[in-house]
Order: sequence, then C-alpha cells, then structure tokens
Amino acid sequence: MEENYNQNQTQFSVEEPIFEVPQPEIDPLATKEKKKTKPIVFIVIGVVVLLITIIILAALNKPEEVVEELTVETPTPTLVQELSPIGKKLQVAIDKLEKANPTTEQHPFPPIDMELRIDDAK
Amino acid sequence: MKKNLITITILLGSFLLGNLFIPLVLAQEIPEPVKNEEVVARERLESEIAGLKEVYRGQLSEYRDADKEFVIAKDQYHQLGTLASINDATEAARKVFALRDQVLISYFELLRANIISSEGIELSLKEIVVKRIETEGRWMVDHKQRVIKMLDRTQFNSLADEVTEKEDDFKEVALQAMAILSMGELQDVYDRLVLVRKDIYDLEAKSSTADKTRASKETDRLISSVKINLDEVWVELGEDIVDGNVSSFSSNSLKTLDPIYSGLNKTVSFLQELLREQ
Repeated sequence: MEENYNQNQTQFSVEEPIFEVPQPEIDPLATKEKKKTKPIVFIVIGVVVLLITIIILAALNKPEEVVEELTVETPTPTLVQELSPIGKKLQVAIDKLEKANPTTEQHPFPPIDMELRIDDAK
Repeated sequence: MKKNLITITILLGSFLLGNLFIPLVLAQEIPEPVKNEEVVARERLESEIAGLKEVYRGQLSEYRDADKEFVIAKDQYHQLGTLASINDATEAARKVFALRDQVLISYFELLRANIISSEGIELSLKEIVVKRIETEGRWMVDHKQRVIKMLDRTQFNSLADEVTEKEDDFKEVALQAMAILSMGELQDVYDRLVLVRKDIYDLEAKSSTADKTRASKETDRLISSVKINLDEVWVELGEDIVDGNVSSFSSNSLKTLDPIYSGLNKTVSFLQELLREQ
C-alpha cells in the first residue's frame, strides 16, 4: 500500500498538474480586430441615440405648430373680418370722421400763464 | 458591411436633421413683406407723436406744480421782502419759466409732427405753417436757455415780458396749425369716401337698375357739393394763412366746418346704403 504512494516532492513539482484546464491560445490578430470594432459600434449607437432624441424632440415640438395652424384655420369671427374690402375702407373713413368732429378741439393751446412775473408792475 | 451600415446611418441622420432644421432656417430667411417707405415714415411719425404727447402731458403737469410753488414764493417775497424770500422767488421763477418754455416747445413740436403726418393738407400750406412753428420753437429754445442762465430778479422780469409780448404770435401760429389740421382731417375723410365711391361704382357696373342709378346719382351729387364746400373753405383759409391771420377763420370755424362735417356724415350714410344694395 505504501509502495504505490510516491512521496517524492521534487518529481511532483516537475510534473504537470493533472486537473489543470488548458488555456485556449490567444490570437493577437483577433484581439486587434475586436479593439477596432468597439468604437464603431459605439459611434453607431451614439448616432442612433441622437436620432431618437431628435425625433422625440421633434414630436414634442409638433403640437405647438398644430395649435398655431388651428388658430389660423378657425379664427374668431369679428365685425372687421366680416366686412368686405370696400366695407373696411368705409369703416376706416367713418373712424376718421369721428375724430374730425369740428366741435372737439384736438390741439388746444396749453393752459399756461403767459403773464408770469416776479414783480407785479411792469 | 459595417461601412455600409455607417453610411446608411449617416445619410438617415442627415435626412432627419435636414427635415427638422431646414424649415426653421427657411422660416428665418423668409423676408417680411416689404413696407412702402412712406408707410414706414408715417408709422415712425405716429409713434413719435404718441411719445411727444406723453412728454407734453408730463411737462404740463410739472409746470402746474412749479406754478403753485412760484405763487407761494412770490407771495412770501411780497409779504416779507427779505433777501431769502427774493432768492426763493427768483429760483421758483427760474423753474416755472423754464418749464413754461419747455411746455410751449413740446406743444409746437407736437403741432409740427401732426401737420407733417396729416394726409389731407396741401403741401404749400404745410410748409408755410411748419416754418412758422419752427421759428417760434427756436425762439422758445433760446428764451429757455437765457432763463436757465439768468441770475438777477429784474432780468427775470424782462424775460417774463418777452414771453408776454410774444403771446399773440404763439397763439396765431397755433391757430393756423389747428385750422389746417381740422381741414386736413375732413379732406382726408372726403378723399377716402371718394375712393369707396369708386369701388362701389365698379360693382354697380356689373348690375344696374333704375333705383340703383337714382341712388348713385344722389350720392354723387352730395359728394360734389361737399367737394365744392371743401374747396371754398381751403381757398379762404389759404388766403388767411398767407396773410398770417386766421383769427377770423378760427372764431367762425365751427360755423364754417360743420356743413362739411354734416355733408361727410350724410355721404357715409349714402355709401353704406349703396354698399348694402350691392
């Protein structure tokens, strides 16, 4: 029993380990390729992210434009808009005529004392 | 394969970016409708007039306050006769005199701007009155400068007398300005109504009936009578302005201008009726 068991430590250290998993051989060319491809992938992902961001921003901005268009398409009806071009011209003349009423003095001489004096007698 | 993928991505990105930002860039580049130089100048003048009105009102309010202070200082000086009261009265006089001058300067500036912007005044009359306004304005500016520099009480009295002597000139020029402005406004309304009449005339040409023809003739007759009235008054006013005396015109202005105003009002009614019938 004892003969089967070799206790020589020198021999043991020289021998290869029985259960060691063999390491796969690393190809230096393949590593280089991997290193090259990584930045390109990042650029593509970056561009895609940028595009998505832009699309989202564009989508967020769109409703305002729609509101503007709607306000243009459905204007609030007013008296001026109902008038024809001739009617509008006439209305301008009427407004101006109201201002031109001769009973209202528009530019009266300023209410200032033109005879101000420190001493009363001349 | 990877190169193709990158190229497609870049192209797609450029397309989307272009679609998003080109409209914005274009919107900025689209020029605004070009305004007529005359329209721009008128708009500038109207905004100048609005500003002048504000300034004028403010100065008038300041003048009123200064006038009250001057009356108090003057009473003190007459009652006490001390050196301190003379000094107070002189300083109060300087303030109120300068403000009065400034109020007049602003008033003349306002009249001038209104005349220039008015559309119904004949150019030759505009030039005459604007020149007179500018002359009075320059006189006021010079007077104000002397008021600011003046130290002696007796000299203040002499400066006060100068303004009193010029009062009639100022009022005459102001009356001339007011007269042409009033007439100009009526003339402007008349010119606008004539244009409306022409537009209605074009519509009438398409469909004419006996009733419409009768109504049109009545309207044209009224417009002609207003025109005759306007021309007569312009001739009368023009002569008075050249003579430099519109006091007679101004005292009768209501009587003179009212028939034109009534005629224009009636014309408006007729044109409204004609327009409804179209």
